Amino acid sequence: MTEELGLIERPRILIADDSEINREMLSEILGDGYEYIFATDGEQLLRLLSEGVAADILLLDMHMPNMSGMDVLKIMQARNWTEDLPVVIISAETDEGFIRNAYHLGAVDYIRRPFDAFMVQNRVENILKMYSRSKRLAQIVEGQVLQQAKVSNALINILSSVVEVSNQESGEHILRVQRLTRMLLDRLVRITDKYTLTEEDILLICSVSALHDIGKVAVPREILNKPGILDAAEWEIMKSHTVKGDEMLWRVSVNQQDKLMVLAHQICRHHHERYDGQGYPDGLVGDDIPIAAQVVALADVYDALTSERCYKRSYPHDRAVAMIMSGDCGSFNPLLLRCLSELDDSLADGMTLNETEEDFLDKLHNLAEETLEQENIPLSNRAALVAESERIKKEFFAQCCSGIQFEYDAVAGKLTSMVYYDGAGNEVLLSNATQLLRLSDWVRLQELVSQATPENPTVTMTALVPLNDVPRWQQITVRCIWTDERDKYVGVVGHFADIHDEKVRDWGVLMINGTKVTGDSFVAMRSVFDVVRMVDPMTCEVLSLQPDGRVESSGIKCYEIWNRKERCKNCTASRAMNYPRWLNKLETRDGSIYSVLSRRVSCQDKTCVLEVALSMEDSEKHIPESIGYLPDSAALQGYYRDSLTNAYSRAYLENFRANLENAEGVAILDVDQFKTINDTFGHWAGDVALKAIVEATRSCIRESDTLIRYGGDEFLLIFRKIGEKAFFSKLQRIKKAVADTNVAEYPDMKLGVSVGGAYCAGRLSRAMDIADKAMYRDKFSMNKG
Amino acid sequence: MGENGMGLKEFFVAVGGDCAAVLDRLPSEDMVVRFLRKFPRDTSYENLRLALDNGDIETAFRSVHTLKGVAANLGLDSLAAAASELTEALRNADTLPPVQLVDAVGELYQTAIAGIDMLDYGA
Repeated sequence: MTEELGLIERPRILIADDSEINREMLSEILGDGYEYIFATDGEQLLRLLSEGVAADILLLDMHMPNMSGMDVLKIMQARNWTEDLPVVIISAETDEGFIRNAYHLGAVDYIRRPFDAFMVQNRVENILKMYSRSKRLAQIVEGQVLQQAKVSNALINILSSVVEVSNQESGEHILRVQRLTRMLLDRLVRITDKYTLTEEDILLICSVSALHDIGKVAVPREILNKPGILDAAEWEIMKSHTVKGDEMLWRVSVNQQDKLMVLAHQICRHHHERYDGQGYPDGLVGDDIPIAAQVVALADVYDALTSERCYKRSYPHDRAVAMIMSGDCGSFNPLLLRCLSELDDSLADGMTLNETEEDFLDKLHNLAEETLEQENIPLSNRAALVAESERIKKEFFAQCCSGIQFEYDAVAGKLTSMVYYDGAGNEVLLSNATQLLRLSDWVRLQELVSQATPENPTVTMTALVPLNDVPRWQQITVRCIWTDERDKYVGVVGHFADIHDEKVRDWGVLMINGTKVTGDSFVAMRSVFDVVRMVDPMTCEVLSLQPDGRVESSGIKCYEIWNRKERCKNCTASRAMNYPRWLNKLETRDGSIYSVLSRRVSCQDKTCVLEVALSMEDSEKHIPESIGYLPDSAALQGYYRDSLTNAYSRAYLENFRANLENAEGVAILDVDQFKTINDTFGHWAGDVALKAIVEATRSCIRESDTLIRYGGDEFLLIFRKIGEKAFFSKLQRIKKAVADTNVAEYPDMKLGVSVGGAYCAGRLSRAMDIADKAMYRDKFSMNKG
Repeated sequence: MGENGMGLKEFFVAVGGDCAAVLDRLPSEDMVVRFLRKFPRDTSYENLRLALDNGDIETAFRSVHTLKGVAANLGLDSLAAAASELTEALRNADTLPPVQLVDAVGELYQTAIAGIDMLDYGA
């Protein structure tokens, strides 16, 4: 309710500019929807700010008399005022450094002179929207954190009071362990980032450390409080408090997945483990022991040494630390020992200090801050939202985020914000932000969003998105927002993360991983990718790979495939020569988008670039798993040899086409009356006939000639080097050899082939055309005759 | 339109500005004219002259910077350009700027003032 009332109140814009015309122009451009406060110089502005002027946004001219805008901004930054009051710089400066400097000082945006009414209105509107929301959300988060802390503390108080009741020594002990745990953890995160402990984690560990001995309620009081040394049986019972505590926690009816409970289990069960593995109950070694338990264990031992117990007197601080350091009192993580030794000075003091309410609130503030800065916040969805809303700050300060961020207001039914940052933190204009998604992707996204619930508010999908005409794979994450009561869907915030490089590269690497570039793996890759080839980046020539691994120039230029007449501007092959990793780019051909991967490889004595390309349209493309490894040669034999006739397969032709180009003799063979053979003698006979024909043909050709089963009963015969006369007489010999062939199983079967040849006809496609026509003439004449 | 009056387009031609660009940036012709008529009361030019007379380079810089901004906002492009040159000459300067830069600003300023005076629009 109050929020709604708040909306009726007009936002207040503070305009600081020494020129009256400029001030009036701005307020007129921005219109009646706002209230205005004016400052005419830096001093006046500073006075207004110091008095706590109620403003929602400050438009700040950088060059003003008495105190420049930059100087005011510095003071605002130093006093943290920019946190709550977004500052927009007004400047005619075009100097990038100047503007960047202002960003560093906390400005969120800038308005260039001359004023463009539309731009001014939009910037102000967007920033106000952003800040009012993040302000509100920040309050919500702080409230939630406080709530959670209260709940945890209540739970812990109940449980630890149970311990106190049964164990006289524990009350004070618990508090001291808690404080020491805090000090150790504070120090630990300062000296290492090994354990990725957040402020939230630390707060929780400290809270939960109070529970480390709850298992002792299950230990008989006479054992717990026995003066002197325990016997073996008693000692076993005493040791069981770790496991007992752990078991007790399982019986607590709370969400066991909650971080608090996870830490509680860790601490209760493992606070008597030793770093060297000699502890109990599980004998965990080193960092297998959860860090929470390691810290509490050290705090526990230190406190046991420095306080009086029923079975011993207390040791002074220095002595206790020395005993721990020497390894007399257990085995600890060296990092933690370092923390303890560095705490020497503050320890004695710290142990007697009470944590004041202010300290607690300070920590809470840290926690809230951290929550705002993090990307994934486990606390609640709304907290995560704050991080999202804080994007302006993040972008400008970190200058490292990239991608498109957008907000959609379902109530207003419009996109309220869409910003695209490149990797260097620059804002990039999108030519048409609202039509980024293809219709099919848009429908898909809408479907996903409609399936989101307040419990599962986030949906993700991947899509190929044209960013200023360059299509790139994006992971789109959309988080839906409901009102606090969860009854009304108000909109979404979302992010496009560029996963193009990973997606494309991983896909390719997965395919080729582990294979060496040989004729075999080349063939294997062909079954996965649309294009596989070797390229010499120096000459832009496609190299043909011989089955024996040698490479030869094919005379084809690598850019021809992309319908270019010169080296691609985005040539990855030449870049690949300098980097021992996969590089990728996108190309288009015949309306399809191809992802091209390039990698430097060595082929025997030559270094060249292996290029593979796959159509991005066909994302469902089947990828045979077996290809991920070096394929065995038998499988590959099967791949490029026709299994029936053992002639080369059509795939061989496709793969090694470059290698077969410009052969001197090209012939097409077509089996005569093949249908009749099948119909008369059955399909089995057809197979036998084909085998017999291939054998007969083989008997007439050399090893170096290539016989390819081109279609069902059609063969392609390629002679790289042959004289013209020899070629045509060879074709006649083949015809005769086939006709003379007798098939033992089918004595009545008559075999024949029609043959057509092309001699020195140039490119393979042309030669095949000519040969095909000749073959039909042959068939026709045979039928006639 | 009065006998000696100028329309908005003619005005921008006369003072060196792009009428279409101004109308593209700002909501209405009416607003452009209203703010142009405020320009003679703007003190930045006066402050500039005064500061230069006093040898106060810092104030001169700030004043001409303001003049540049105002002129740019009003679409007085030639004046804004001259002011910009003078601004750069005064930025972090130790000595007074070349007199021709100052004169250029003065001339264009007077042209603009005269033009605004002859502007015949609405009232």
